[in-house]
Amino acid sequence: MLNLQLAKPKTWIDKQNNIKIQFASQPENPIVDKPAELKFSVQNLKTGDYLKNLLARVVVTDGQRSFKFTNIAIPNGNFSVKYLFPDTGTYQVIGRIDDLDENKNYRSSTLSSFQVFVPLQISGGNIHVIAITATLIIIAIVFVIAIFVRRKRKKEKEYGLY
Amino acid sequence: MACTKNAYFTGWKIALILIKMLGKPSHSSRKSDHYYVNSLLICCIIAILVVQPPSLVALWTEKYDAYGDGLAQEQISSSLGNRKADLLIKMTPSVVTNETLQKGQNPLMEFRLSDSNTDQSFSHVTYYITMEKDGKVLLSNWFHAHDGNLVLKIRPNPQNNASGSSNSTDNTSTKPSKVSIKGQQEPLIGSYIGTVKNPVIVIGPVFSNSGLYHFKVRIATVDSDTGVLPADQQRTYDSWFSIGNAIYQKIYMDGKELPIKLVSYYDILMTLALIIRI
Repeated sequence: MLNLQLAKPKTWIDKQNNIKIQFASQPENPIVDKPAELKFSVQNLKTGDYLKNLLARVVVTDGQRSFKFTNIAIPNGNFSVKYLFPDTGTYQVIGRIDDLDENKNYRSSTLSSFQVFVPLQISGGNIHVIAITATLIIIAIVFVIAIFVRRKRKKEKEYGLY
Repeated sequence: MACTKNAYFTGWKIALILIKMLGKPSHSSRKSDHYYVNSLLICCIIAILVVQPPSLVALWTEKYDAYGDGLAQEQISSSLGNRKADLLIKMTPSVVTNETLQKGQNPLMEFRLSDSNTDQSFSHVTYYITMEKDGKVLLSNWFHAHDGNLVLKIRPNPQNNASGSSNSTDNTSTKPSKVSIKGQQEPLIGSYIGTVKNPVIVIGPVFSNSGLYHFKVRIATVDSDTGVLPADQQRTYDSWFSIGNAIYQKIYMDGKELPIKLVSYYDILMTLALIIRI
C-alpha cells in the first residue's frame, strides 16, 4: 500500500465516473537525473474504497519531450512508476485509468493531469540553499567594500585632504 | 372520472343559466345582437374556468411520454471552461436502415467540436465516445482529432443485421460480439485518430440492429494533445441516432397486388396489418 499522506497528494475528482485519483511524487520536488517515484491512488469517490483490477497509462511530458508507461496493471487501487526527470522545469503527468470488464470492454475511463516541479539544482544542492549562500556572499562583499571605503576616507581625513 | 363528468355538467348548466340571464335578446338593433354574442362567449369562458380548474390543471400538468431523437444530425451546446463549445454529431448518409446496411452501406459518424462564437473547430480534441443500445454498451473508447473533426466509419457485422421480417424480435437477443477498432493511435494517450480522409473503422455489432442508439461524448482535451481539461470541465454531450427498420409487404386490393414498404426510425416493426374501411 502506498503512503500518499506523507507526500502531500494532489487530488483529481471525476464525478462522472465516481472516481477520486490522488497523486504524489516522492520526493515532492524531484531532483534532476535522480529517480523519482510517481505514486497514484484510485478510489471510489463516494465510498472511499480502493478500486481493483484497473489498467493505467502514464505520460510524463515537459511539452517537448514525452515519456509514457503503458499497460500498468492496478490490482488494488494503488500503483507507482519511477522516472528520472532529465531537466529542471514544470512537468505534466497525465494518468489514464481504465476500468475494463472481463471482455476487455471499457466500463469507464478517466483522463487526469497533475503537475510536478523539478527545481534548479547545482552539484546536488537545492536552489534555496544556493540562493541563501549567494545572498550571504553578496552581503559579505558589500560589507568588505564598505569597510574599505570607510578606512580610506578616515585616512584622507587624517591627512587633511578635506 | 365520474367527478370530472359531474364537473362538466355543472359547468355547462351554469353557462346556460348565465347565457339565459345575461343574454336575453333585446328587440332589434345590431348593437344588442353584438352584446348578446359577447355575453354568451364571456359566460361560457367564465363558467368553464370556474368549474373546470382541476381538469384544466390536469391537462397542463399531466406528463405524457414522448420520444424523440436527433435522426441524422444534432448540434449540442455546452460550456468548456470560460468558452462555449458546440458539438456537431452527424451521420452520413442521413438515412440508414437495416435494408441499406444489408446492401453494404458503411455509415460515417462525424464529430466536430467548435467554438460557438467563431464557429472555428477546436484543435487537438480528445473524445471519449460511448455508444449504447437498449442500455448495453456497444462501443466505448478514446478518439482524437488534431483538427477537431473526428470521423468514424461503422462496419456493422452483417450476420447480426435485422432481417426486416416480422420475426425481428431476434434482433435484440443476438449476443453482441466484441467491437474492434482499426485506426492510427495517438502516441501519448493512445486514442484513435480519425480524419475525413482516414476515418477510424469500427467493426462489430454497432448499428447491426435497427432502433435508437445513444451516444455519450466526453471532451477530455482541447488546444493540445496534452491539454487535459480539468475534471469539472470535461463535458459529456448526449445524443441519439436512429437506424431505420424497413419491412416489405404485399397487399391485395381489387385483385391487384400492391407492394408496400414501411420504415420505422424508432423501433423494430413487428407486423403490418391493413384495415380497409369503406
